Amino acid sequence: MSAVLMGSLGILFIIGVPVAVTLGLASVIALMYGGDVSLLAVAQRIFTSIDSFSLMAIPFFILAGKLMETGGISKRLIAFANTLTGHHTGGLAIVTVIASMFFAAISGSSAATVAAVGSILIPSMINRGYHKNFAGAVTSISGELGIIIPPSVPMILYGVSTNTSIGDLFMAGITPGIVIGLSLIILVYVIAKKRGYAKEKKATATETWKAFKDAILALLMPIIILGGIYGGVFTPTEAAVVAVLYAFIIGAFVYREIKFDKIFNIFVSSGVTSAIVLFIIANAGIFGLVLSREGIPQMVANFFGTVTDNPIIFLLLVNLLLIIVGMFMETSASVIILAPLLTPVAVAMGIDPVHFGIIMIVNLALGMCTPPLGVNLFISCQIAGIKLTDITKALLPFYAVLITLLLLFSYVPFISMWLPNLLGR
Amino acid sequence: MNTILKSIDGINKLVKILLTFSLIVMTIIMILQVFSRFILNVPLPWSEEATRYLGIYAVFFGAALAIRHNELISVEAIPDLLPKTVQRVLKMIVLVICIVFFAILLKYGIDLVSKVSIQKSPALQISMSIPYFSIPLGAFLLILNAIAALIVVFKGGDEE
Repeated sequence: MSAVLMGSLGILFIIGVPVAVTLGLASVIALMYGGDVSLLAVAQRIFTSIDSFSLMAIPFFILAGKLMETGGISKRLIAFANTLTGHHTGGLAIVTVIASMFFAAISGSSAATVAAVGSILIPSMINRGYHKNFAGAVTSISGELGIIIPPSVPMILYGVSTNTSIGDLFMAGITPGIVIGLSLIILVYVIAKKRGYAKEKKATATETWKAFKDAILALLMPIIILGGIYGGVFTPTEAAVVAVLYAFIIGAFVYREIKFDKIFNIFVSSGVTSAIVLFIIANAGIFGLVLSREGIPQMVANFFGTVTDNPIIFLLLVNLLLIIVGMFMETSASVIILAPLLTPVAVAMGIDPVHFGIIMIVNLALGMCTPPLGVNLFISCQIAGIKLTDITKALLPFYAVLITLLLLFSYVPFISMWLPNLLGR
Repeated sequence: MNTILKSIDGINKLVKILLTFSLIVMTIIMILQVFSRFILNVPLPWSEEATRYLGIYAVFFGAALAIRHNELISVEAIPDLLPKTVQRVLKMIVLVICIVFFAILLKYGIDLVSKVSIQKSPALQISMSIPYFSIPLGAFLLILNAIAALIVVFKGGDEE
């Protein structure tokens, strides 16, 4: 039965059947082959695996992100970042990184971050004489902060599928996110210096103050979300709804940029985006049912047990595996399938599940910027008007920095864990 | 075939309205929940359950709309290497495979709805057939939209 399951899974994946249908149908085929379970259980499982209140945070966070994008919040965040760092060499590229960090703190998705920041800054960078490939590369890479700096849709998925606190994961993501952001700023500055890219004119104190005032409502948002969750005021799902309400009020009544005739489209596209992720989870539930019947999690654990009992080597193997998976698979799907298999092994080796979650997310975030399947690359290449093959070379220095940081986060748990530990989880 | 495509897209207009409606009602219920707990100090017993059930309906509506424009995530690395005509045939095979799976869901979803009709949901005390009806309804809408996508590929490509 395991062979049937893995065989059909492989074939369906390779010919391009959607991940959700692949997981569901491969499980159905395996169950029919095994012959002892009613397919009624399959229908029931597809329901129960998304019958989770925590998962309902996902549509709300996606909706909040879309409202902010259309509501003029991203524009104001970029303007504020520009007054802070625009006047350095390579100023616009540094602004791209900082604006992505701001946007990441109010949005749970990388694709949204690349789209919001890139649609404004990629054309500006190209206008100011930056190479197209460089402009696309900076934006794609900065976009990965979208899921590392909380809130984060993949962290919610990891938390739900491994029974780990979503609040702790959010807190643990903050420091790695800031470290990645600062490292990218340094790298971008060094490259810009070497190529002699332009500076923007320095903003006066009054201009900075005005930009800050414009952006303050957006900058308060992460404090409300994270403070609310961690202060025990809201559950993550409630915090996501508060974010929706907040984004809507600011966008529609303060900045007055959300037009009422656009709201229908915002809801539909948020609903579709969330459904794409949640439909995979629904079907992954069936898959998980078959996996545990077959004792496959145990087999995975035993496999790693025979290879190594050393957590250092284990983390190295996991990181290699995830980088390869990340090249070919979408992040949410990878988290949903792999987290329940790998996390118990990590925990048995003494690795904290929160720390392990951060390793998985940071690794798979890089996968969004690696060809052949990298959502961030697709979006920024489209905005910059370049091909996937052109951008790859410009990405190499970024990969080097990010892989170094990934290893650092893997082997120094303190970087992720000090904040949740400090807050007394 | 154009008539079929047009009728499916007509149904999709309704699906979009239902999707928006579910999301708006979920938002309102959650605002009520937070308000009631903090301001009135009365936690609502039914709000989370209602949000979950509406959310499940929303997932099926959204998934149906997603397959209409081939937006469901798939691993395209290998099909992309093939010549265009082979890709087209493969795309049609993939959609037929999807339809088979959704048909299985439809059949067992209907069975499930009648089987759980006497069960009551814990908080709302409604028949469990109501939330579980999302499965056959969703499967039906997924089949319709997979057929629409199939027609588009068959007719030779990109309509938009």
